[in-house]
Parts: sequence; structure tokens; C-alpha cells
Amino acid sequence: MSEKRTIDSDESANKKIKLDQLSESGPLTLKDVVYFQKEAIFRELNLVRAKCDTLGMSLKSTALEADRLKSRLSLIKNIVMSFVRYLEPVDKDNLLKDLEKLVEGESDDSLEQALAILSKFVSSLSGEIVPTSFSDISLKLAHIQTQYDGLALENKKLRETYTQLNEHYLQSVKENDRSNSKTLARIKPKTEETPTPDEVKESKSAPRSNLPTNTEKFSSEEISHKLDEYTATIETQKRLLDEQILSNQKLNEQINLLHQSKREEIEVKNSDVYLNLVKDYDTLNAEYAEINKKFEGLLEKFNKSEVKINDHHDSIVSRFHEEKEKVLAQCEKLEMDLTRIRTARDDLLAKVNILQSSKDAQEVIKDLNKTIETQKSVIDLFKFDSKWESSITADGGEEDIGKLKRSNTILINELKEFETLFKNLQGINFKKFQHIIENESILNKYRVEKKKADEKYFAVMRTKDSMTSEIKSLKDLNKKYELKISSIEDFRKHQDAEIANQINKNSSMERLVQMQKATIVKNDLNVTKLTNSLNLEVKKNLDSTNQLNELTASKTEYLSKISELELKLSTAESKNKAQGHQLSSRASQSSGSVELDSYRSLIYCSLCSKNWKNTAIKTCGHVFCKECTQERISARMRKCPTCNQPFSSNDILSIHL
Amino acid sequence: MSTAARRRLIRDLKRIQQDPPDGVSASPHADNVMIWNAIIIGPSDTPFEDGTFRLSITFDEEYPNKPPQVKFLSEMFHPNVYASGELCLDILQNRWSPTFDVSSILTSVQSLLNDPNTASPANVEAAQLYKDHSSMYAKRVRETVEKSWAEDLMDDDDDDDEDEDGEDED
Repeated sequence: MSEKRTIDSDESANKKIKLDQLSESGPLTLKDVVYFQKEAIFRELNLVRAKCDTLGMSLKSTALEADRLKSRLSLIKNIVMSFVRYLEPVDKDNLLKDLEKLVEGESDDSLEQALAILSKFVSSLSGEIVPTSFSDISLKLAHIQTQYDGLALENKKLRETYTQLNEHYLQSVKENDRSNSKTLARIKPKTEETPTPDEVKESKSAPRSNLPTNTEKFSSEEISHKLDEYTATIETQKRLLDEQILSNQKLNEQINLLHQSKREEIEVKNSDVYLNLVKDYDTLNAEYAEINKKFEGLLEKFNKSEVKINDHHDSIVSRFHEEKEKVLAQCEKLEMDLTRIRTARDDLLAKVNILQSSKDAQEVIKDLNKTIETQKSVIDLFKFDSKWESSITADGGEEDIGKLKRSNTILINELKEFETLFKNLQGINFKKFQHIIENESILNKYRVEKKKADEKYFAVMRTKDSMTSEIKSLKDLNKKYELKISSIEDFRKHQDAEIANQINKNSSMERLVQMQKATIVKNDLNVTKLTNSLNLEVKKNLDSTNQLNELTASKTEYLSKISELELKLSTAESKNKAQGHQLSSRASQSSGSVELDSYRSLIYCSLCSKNWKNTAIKTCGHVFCKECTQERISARMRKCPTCNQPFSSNDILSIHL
Repeated sequence: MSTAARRRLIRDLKRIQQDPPDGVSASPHADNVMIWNAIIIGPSDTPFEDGTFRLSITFDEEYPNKPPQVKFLSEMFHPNVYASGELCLDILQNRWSPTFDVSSILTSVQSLLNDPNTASPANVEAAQLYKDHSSMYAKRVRETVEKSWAEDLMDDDDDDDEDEDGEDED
């Protein structure tokens, strides 16, 4: 309870202190939070103010633009009026009246109507008046249109950059406020870097956070700290001022340079790089065209060669086919001849067989002749016998002679018969012999014929051999042609590959050209950007000069403040010395108490912070006091308070530190 | 009077004073140590930036074995805060551990501001906007931040505040 009371007394003491005085350390007090709240609101306010400023500026610019548009509108009206006046002599009364009426009317709608009528009028007149300069005007108009498009694009970009810059400006204002805020530093004491304003623009708002305060209550330390801060800020501002002036000059120079360059750019788009790029582009284009030409020539050649190859191939194939057919026809003829010869040979062979059989018959005839001779000899023998008998009979008796005579006559008859028979036989034989001779002559004839046939056969065989050799040679030729065809096909493939290569080269060249185009476009963009940045820089320059003036004013203010603060410092320093001793003693005390507290937290139970740690939970090893563990067991919350591991009454171990 | 819970709360207060967490202010009621008022400053670089959100923490005698009741007094637009201001935070319910103290509760709530759990939203609209229309969500949060500034942190110091305003304006 005693501790609580001390805290309460602290708070009541705090209430009496001014709100903008922050407590240096320890927990955030309610006052600190209120102060923080205030600062946050001011930061927001500042931001809103900045936004308002920017909005005002944009409003001004829009108002200016509106004025300009109004003037333009009046100009257009004047033009229309003069035009109408010019048209007056032409005899189109009612139209003109309408026009007058409408043009006199001040509203924009009437102007539009007038324009519509005018356009109608012009269309009606188009038959009469020959618009010689219309085409020129339309060309000019188109030119202006393109220019306008480019400008519109630029305008869009500028708008974007403007909005971006606006955002950046607001962001930087916010950041600056935050970095200058003491309360934020108080809330996050770990990041104690003193924020240094990095832009003049932002430093302008610095005094807002360094609110003029009742410094009497500040300790001397704080005063000196503040003084240092002020001097530092002034120095930084001085430095920034100088830098700003320098940058101003630089910017002026740059502006002049840019103006010059811009003028030249408009005429020639002068930069060497650009020219070089254009040259490169042209050369590349020329190269590309050349390559295209070459490619086309190659393509033509290739086509021609392909056609030639095809023709050649066709002719070769046709010739080959012709030759083949010829050879085939010859072969067929030869085969036919062969078959004929074979049939003739077969016939001849059959005849030879017949002749051989007739030869056998001749042999039979010869045998018959031989038998005839033997029979003649037999007959001779018989004659001799008969003679011999007759001689005998002459010797023996008459009877016998008679008998013998009879037998002799019989025998003679018989002999005569034999002779006639023999004669008959001889005639037959002769006939047969003649027949054989005839046969032999036929045979000879056949032989001659056979020889002839053989000769023919051999001739045919020879022709056949020659034909096969010819076929062989033709086959060789065929193979050669096939080889040639394959080589031609290879050549064709090669040509195809070359063409593909050429196409690739072509595409790469196209890519190069496109890249060149892109770089040129980029360059153009860069030029526009440069002009934009130029304008921006001019604006900035003006801003910075304004700020410069403001800063010089604030500087004089600060100088006066510094003199004041220095006086205060001298008075406070004496106080500070007196307080120094007290502070040191206090510091040692506080460090000792912190140490003590940490020791206390080590040995006291972390749940009730009243009792000693004397009971360990065996499942996890965490240590608490006996009362707390018992309470948890009895409340059925049997889990370790630190690690949530379950434990039972058996897992409790009392320990003695 | 000095029960275990009260003793423990005094220890928590001491710890807050010794090792104060960033962007958090907490103090018990002048007449009742079981009820605390706390202020959480919205973490920077979030939609809640610079907001000063008031909370009340109500302890009972079972603390630290039971979690305290934490409730936002400021109007909040957050997926895990009910319209009544009550919080849906796991360590204040089933994952409570007696080793948690006031400073750890407040830092948890502070981190919850920018890291909401949309799985079980307490404010369905806020969860939907947070998931689908982050810019709209930020706008709504900004509104609550501005409302939090309009709140009176010190009910009894009205005059003082006005004086300060006048001084700061110039």
C-alpha cells in the first residue's frame, strides 16, 4: 500500500507541471500521453495545412487556365464574327440572320450552334467556292493535331509527376514532423537519434515543434541542450542556405543550358547521341535493306536452282525410264527368240531320234542282205549238189537218174521259186535301201539345219550375255543417278538451311532496327523529361528563393533567441552545479534498487511475488511457492503456469534454496 | 486487503515502471488497484499510427490464475474487437498463463492492432475490409484514430488542455 501511495503522489505532482514538459524516463504518464495526443493532432493539422496549400496552388493554376480558356473562347467568337461579316455580301440572308442571332448570343451553346450552322453553310458553299487552300489548312491542322497529342501526353506525364511530388511533399512534411516530435522520441526511447532536418522546406516547420515555452522551469542542462540544438539548427540552416544558393546558381546555369539546348533540340533534336543514333538507325536500315536484297537474290537463285534441279531430275528419270523400257523390250524379244530356238531344238532332237530309229532299220536291212548272201551261197551249194548228184546218177542207174531228174526238176523248180523269191526280196531290199538312202539324205539335211540352229543359239546366247552386261551397266548408271539425286537433295537441304539462316539474320536485323527505334523513342522521352525537369527546377528555384527570404528572417529571430538563452544558461549553470551532487547520489541509489529488484524477482515466486520459491514441478522444472502450486492443484488447473505442461500432486518437489 | 492478487498487481505496476514498454501507458485507479486504465499508442507505419486508444483492465481476486477482463473504451475498428470494445485474443482466454502481466497483455494488444486474426473475426465488416479493401480499411481506422484524439484522457483537467491549445497554435 505504501508503494501505491507514492505513485499517486507522483501523479499529482505531474499534474502541476506544464503539459509540454515530458517525463524523462520511466513509464509513460497520462500527461505524456496527452502531450503526445496534442502533438499528433498538430502533426495532422500541419499535414492538412500542407494539403490545403497544394490544393490552393492547384486551384490558382486551374483558375488561370480557366481565364486563358475564356480569352480563347472570346477569340474564337471574334473569329466567327469576322467570318460571318465576311460572308455577309453573299446572298444567303436567312442563314446569315440565324448566324448573327446565334453569334450575338453569349452562351456557349449558341456558339456551338453557330459553328454547326457555319459548317452547314460551308458545305452548301462547297459547290461554288473551290477550296484551294483547304488542303493546306487541313495539313496544318493535322500537324497541329499531332503536336497537340504530344503536348497532351507531356501534360499527362507532368500531371503524374506533379501528383507524385505532391505526395512526396506531404510524406516528407509528415516525416519531418514525426522526426522533430519529442513525444515520439519519448515513446520510443530506444531510438534516440536526434533528427536533423534535411531540407530547408522542412526545417521551416521545425520551430512549430520547438514551441516557445516557459523556459524558467527548465533545468540548466535542458537549456544548454536547447541552445546547442538551436545553434545546430541555425548552422545547418546556414549551411543549407549556402547550399541552396549554390544549387540555385547551378540550377540557373542548368536552366540556361537547358534553354539553349532545348532551342537547338526543337530544330535539330541536336544531341550528338541522338544524331548518332539516327545515323546508326539509317545505316542499319540501309544494311537491312541490302541484306533484304541479298536475301531476295539468294531466294531467287535458290528457286532457279531448285527448278533446274527438278528439271534435271525429271529428265534423268525419264531417260532412265526410257532406257529401262528399251532394255526390257529387248529382253522380252530375246526371251521370245530363246523360246523359239528351244522349240526348234526340240523338234530337231525329235527328228534325230526318228533318224536314229531309221538307222536301226538300215542295220536290219544289212542283216537281211547278209542272210540273202548266205542264202545265195546256200543256193550255190545246192546247185553244186545237184551237179554232183547228176554226176553220181550217171554213174549209178537210170532209175536213179530218173528219180534224180525228177528231184532235179523239183529242185530246179524249187530253185526257180527261190530265185523269184530272191529277186522279189532283192527288189524289196533295193526299195528299202533306196528308202534308207533317202532317209540318210534327210538326216544330213537335218544335221545341217541343226548346226544352223546351234549357231543361232550361240548367237542368241552371245546377245543375251551382251544384254546382261548392258543391264549391268544400266544398273550402275542408275546407281550413279541415285547418288547424284541424293547429292542434289543434300544441296537442296543446304540451301534450305542457308535460307533459314538468312531469315534469322533478317529477323535479328529487324529486332535491331526496332531496338534502335525504341532507343530513339526513349531519347525523345528523355528530352521531354529534361524539359519537364527544367520547368520543375525553375519552380523549385522560385520556391527556394522564397524560403531563403523566410529563412533569413527566422535566422535573425533565432539569433536574438540565442542571446537570450545564453543569458539564461549562465544563470542556470550555477544552479546545475549545485544539483550535480544530488543527481549523482540519486543515480547510484536508483541503480542499486534496480539490482535489488532483479534479485527479488529471482528468488520470489513469480505468481504471488510474496513467498520464496520453494516448490519445483518435476515434469518441467519450473519453480514456484508451495501455496501457489497447492492452489493450482486444488483449483484443478494442473498445468505449469510458465510452460503449460500438465503436472499432478506427485510431481511436486519441495526444494531448499 | 493485501491479497495475492493485489500483491501481484503491485508487482506488475513496479515492473511497468522499471521496464516500461514502448507506446503503452498504464496505471491503476486511484481508489481501486483491481481496475486499471491503460492507453495504447497506435504503432507507427500502420493505419493506427498516433492513435491514443483507451482501455480498461479489470482484475478479480483469482488473478493471476484467471485472466483479467480487457476492454477498449475508445471506439475501435478492428477485426478482433467487438462493438462493445471487448477483445477476442487467445491469450486472454484459453491460452492464458499466470506468468503474463499487465505489460505483456498491453504489448500483445498493441501488436494485435496491426496483425489481426481474420480467421475468427469479432467485427465481420472490419475483417472483410481488411482482407479485400485495405485502403477502405485504413480510412475507417483513421476515422477512429481521429476520434481517439477528440476523447478526453483526463476527465478532470479540461481547463489545462484548452490553455495548451492556445499556446500551441502559434
